[in-house]
Amino acid sequence: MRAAQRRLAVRFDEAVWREAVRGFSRQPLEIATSARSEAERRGIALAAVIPCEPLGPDGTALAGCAKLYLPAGDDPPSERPFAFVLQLARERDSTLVWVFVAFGHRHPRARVRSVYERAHRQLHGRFPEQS
Amino acid sequence: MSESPDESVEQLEDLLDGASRTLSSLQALNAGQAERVAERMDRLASQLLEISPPPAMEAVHARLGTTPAISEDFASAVDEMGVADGEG
Repeated sequence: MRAAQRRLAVRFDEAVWREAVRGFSRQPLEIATSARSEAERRGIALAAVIPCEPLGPDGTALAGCAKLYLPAGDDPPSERPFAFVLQLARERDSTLVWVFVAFGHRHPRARVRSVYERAHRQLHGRFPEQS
Repeated sequence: MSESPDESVEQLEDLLDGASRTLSSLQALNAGQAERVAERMDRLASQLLEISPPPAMEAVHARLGTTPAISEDFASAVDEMGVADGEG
């Protein structure tokens, strides 16, 4: 199999998932739920994700993470306003997997946290400006 | 008198639950109404994140039986990923 076609399984922790989707309205909730089902069924190809900036312009520190634009499909990024942030991890038998970290808007309105800020909080326990 | 963080979290969770229930009970919303409700819910959800701690990542990995990959693993996987776009 070509390396570019490699797919990794995705692990979802229920506490993280509940918090990640809490409060979203129907449409984004459906997008997130559908993406999770697909990810659990088929995994996520390395080629389908984009590496996160280790240190983003908004102060987010997401080294070791990648993002999957949603809804899934071939639409241009501008028409995929949501994302999962996933952390690369190893299972006990050394298999590489994705661990789900956050879901949310890529470019939210004012006073709404972006998926990158949400991921930073999940990984580091607080938002970037609170560090 | 200010509320305790627990009380504030409970209040926000109640608000979000109420908004979700209301939304589910409505048969149809026009686009503008749906957008307004979604905006409010997004803001409430963000407010809730400000005052409640996330599940600790160490405990998350323990439950899943995983450990974060080392940077060398990630560096070699990046070659197979899409091109970084400078966002996030």
